Amino acid sequence: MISQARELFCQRARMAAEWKEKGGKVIGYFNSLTPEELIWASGLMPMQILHSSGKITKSGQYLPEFLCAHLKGCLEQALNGELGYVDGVVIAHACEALRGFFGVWNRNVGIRSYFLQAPATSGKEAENYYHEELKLLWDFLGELSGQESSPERLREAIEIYNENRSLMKQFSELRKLPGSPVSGRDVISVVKAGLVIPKDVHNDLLRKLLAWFRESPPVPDGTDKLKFTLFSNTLEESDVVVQVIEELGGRVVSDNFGYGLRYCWEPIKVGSDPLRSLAGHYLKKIPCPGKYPLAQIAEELTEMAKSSGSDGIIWITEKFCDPYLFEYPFLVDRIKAEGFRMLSLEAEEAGNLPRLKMKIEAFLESLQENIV
Amino acid sequence: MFPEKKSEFWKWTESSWKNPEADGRKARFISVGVDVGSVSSQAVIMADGKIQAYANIRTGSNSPESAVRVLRQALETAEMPEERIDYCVGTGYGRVNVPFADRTITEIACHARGANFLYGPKTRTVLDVGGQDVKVIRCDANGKVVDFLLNDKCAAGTGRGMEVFADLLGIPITEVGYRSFEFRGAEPPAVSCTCVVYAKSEATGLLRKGWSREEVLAAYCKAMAGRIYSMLERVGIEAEFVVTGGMAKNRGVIDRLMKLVGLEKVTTDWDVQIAGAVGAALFGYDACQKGKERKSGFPP
Amino acid sequence: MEEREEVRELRNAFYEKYFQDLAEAQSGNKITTYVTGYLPSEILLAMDIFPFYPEAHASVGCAFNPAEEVDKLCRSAEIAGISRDLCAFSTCALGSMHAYPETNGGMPRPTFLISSAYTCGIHVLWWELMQHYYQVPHFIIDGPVLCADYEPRHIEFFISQIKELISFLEEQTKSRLDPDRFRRAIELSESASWYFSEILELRKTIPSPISFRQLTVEMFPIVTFPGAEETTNFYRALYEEVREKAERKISVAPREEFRLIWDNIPIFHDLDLIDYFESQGMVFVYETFFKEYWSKRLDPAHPFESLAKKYLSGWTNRRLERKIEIIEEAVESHAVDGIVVFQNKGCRAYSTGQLDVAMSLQERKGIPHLIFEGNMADPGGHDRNQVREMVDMFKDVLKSRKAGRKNG
Repeated sequence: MISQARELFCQRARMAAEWKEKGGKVIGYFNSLTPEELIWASGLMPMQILHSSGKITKSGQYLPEFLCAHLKGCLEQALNGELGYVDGVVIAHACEALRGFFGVWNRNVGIRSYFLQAPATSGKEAENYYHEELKLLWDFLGELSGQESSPERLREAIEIYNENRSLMKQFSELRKLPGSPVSGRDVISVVKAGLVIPKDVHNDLLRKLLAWFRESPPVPDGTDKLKFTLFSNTLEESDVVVQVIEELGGRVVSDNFGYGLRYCWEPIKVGSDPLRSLAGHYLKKIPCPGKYPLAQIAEELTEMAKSSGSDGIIWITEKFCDPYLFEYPFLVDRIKAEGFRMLSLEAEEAGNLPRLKMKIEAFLESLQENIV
Repeated sequence: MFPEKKSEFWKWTESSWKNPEADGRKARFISVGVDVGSVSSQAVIMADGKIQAYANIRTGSNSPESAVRVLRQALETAEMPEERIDYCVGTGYGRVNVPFADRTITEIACHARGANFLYGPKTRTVLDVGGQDVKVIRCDANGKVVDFLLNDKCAAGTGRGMEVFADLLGIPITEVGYRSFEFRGAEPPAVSCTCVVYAKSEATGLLRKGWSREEVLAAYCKAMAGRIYSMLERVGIEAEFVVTGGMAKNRGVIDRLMKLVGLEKVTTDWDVQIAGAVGAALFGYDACQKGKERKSGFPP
Repeated sequence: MEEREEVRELRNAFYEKYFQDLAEAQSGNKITTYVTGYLPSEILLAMDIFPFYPEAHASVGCAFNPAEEVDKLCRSAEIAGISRDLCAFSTCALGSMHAYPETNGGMPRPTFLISSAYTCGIHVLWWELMQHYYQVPHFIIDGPVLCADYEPRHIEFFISQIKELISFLEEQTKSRLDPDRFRRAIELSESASWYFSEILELRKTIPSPISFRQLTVEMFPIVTFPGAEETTNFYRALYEEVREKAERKISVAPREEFRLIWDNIPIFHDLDLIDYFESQGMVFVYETFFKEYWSKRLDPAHPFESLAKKYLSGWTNRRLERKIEIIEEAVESHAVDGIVVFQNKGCRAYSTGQLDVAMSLQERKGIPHLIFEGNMADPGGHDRNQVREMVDMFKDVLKSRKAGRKNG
């Protein structure tokens, strides 16, 4: 079943091509601060641009060396012509590097691109302002799709996305059960698929997965696995790390993942003006450092580790990621106060498998009562 | 400027040792720890948790072969047939390549346990400077790991870096320690970068400027000590602080490091390069006591 | 030419005022806030609030302390879990707090904190860490995060933020912003900016009458106290002096051979590098950091709107194409021969996009560039000799270009 999710992920370019053959258009986006619902409501297919682990050559001419692998990798793909199927791009402000990056991207990549500003606070003025910004984004998307903006369609989009959030949450919870056939890595695979395929297709997949799980319930084998919460801002490398943890007999039961639980934390409550509801949600509910109080993030993440019964925490960050690096000292304080042990990794460490395995294994050993 | 004829100045002598007081024949359990590092490999044979014999060799290009060779050498030294082994634990960078190991345990856990054995249970912070990495391990009174930090991917500040440097200056590795103090006047400032590649060119520049080899060595040792110290700072140093691994034998770095650390240097009569293998053998002894049996045989 | 008596006196008068306020802040007798780079301090000064500036604290610390001391601060930050890959001002300032906790690293204890999101979003995160440390209120001046020219809606949002700031300050200080004092602060700030921008204008003269290094040091008053009487007085005197130097054709270098642009924040722990350039006949005549921040004008008739326009047009808020235009104009107006692109690891916001500017300048104007990587406030890994070797090589490039132009 899970292999289907992995397959969908691998086939993303082909699926996008099929979508386009039917006359559809694809919008690439960069991070979880992008209100995808608006893209969907404009009749366009949102697709997250993910950096591949390929070599960085061309983008080095345009970007400083000390920029995160995500931005360098995304530009590299674009310069290599690998994003031919993307008709437009939305870059939502999530960090300071992105501002400069947008200029470089816009100047050197021949794809129509839009920079979405997002306030750092969420008071009335900020919300009003952001609401106006979303209107302008909606216009941009409408221009690309040729469709007039329709609040009704936005309502439908929010419904589909809310259903996705709820299904993802249900599915993510399954990995917590003893003997569950759903592993932490499976959850990541499903999350990844969700970023690159249409949300209604992803919902179908999730419903099938949940039905399959009801047919094949967990078989506890009596062994007690070490449980982990993953704090990460990078998808590909997390996939590798989680695989290593689980091969070594641990299980990742919870994550804050920019794209995982963070993404489906809460449904959007729709009021009389769906656009305003969307603005309120993306302004207040996405726990992204820089846009959401650090103290609250640290609190919520620690709570997550506690409630999932985790034995330890794995923290992975992309090198040169300012928001996450600032989150770190806060988190460490909070986590240590709760008595949790944490292993900090840099995303690029996933590239050196023997060393990564050693670190993770040593961390697991240190959490065991007796190694032998 | 550099010695004309290249001899292998980096080379340290391989060794083995047998405990004259221990008698393995009467022991209930013989456990073995094999630590295959990137530069050196050690095997320790323990009889009921006491060191019986060990061997220390240079890791060759083929880790499984080195593992076999070092164990053979230790067994010969101990005058013990291989059938006598009850349990064997592999550790180190090449731990998955120890063909006859019953299980593997990371070098982090093994070094903490080994340091606890070699230096005593008051050990709380272990610095291990190996061939290709630097580890700082915090542990409890049982030698159990509480926290650890590994150096970043760069080999600067490691044993291999020191070997390259000794070779460059034509100073035998075993003399690096004391010769790094043989300069006149004030101690020279640290080189700006411990990265092997840059340090080489910097050293060349300094020699050209008329620095003696000892002064350049002092500057390099000082930089290495500084680099290692900044790692220690990040984990926090709790006394007692001990050093294991090949670099522990290098006074040039360690004396300078201890000055920065500001703690009393804890000493031991043991060869601390074997700490990892000792820890592994101790875990092996645990396994024997829990009734675990040997799974693997020796390769033909 | 000797420095004018008046310049020295007025500079001293400024620092006397500054250090007196700082001393009062340190003894807890003055309402004190930490401010981030480029926010409307005019309002704070009008309300008698001492705006302490951790970034200036970090950069001054870097410029006047030995590298080992600065390195120690950065290491202290690392021990506290603050990566050295972050904004180097933040590692220095936070590091000094952790290295010397009894004095907060030499920084006065704030009554409250004010950060801003529009110039650099990093500030908000950094200030949150300090909020955690001091446990005092923290006001975020939100604002449009631009990489575009500002539009009316941006101005409107920013004004709403300034008004919220004023309410916050009035609540915190339990006093009102006096309209007369506010107007006066705006006037003073405007006139300081006028003098500062005229000083920069004078660098169009050949040879350039004031050095990059002197400006780096002399910007302190306008950066920290825009809207104070002492600031404006000082720049008036400095302007007169620089004008005289320009008229008398007094150069900052033994021989001004090549005129350069510096793009990025100064490299505070190696300001000697500027002297080295000058000793080789290469003089900086234009820096985006001065021109695009501290010479922005205000309109006392429209204080809020002009504050918005000033603070929303900082370099990091600019559209990349606009940046290229601005630098191209500077090349013409300042008779520039080359550009030094400092790829500053300490500031990603400033450094991303720089390479496009350099490439475009090369293509469209034939202006050569020197690209070198370093960190504005972290001396770790900085090899002074290596950078100077690059400078020598760059001079050769400039020379051969000049020779080529003469011959061709």
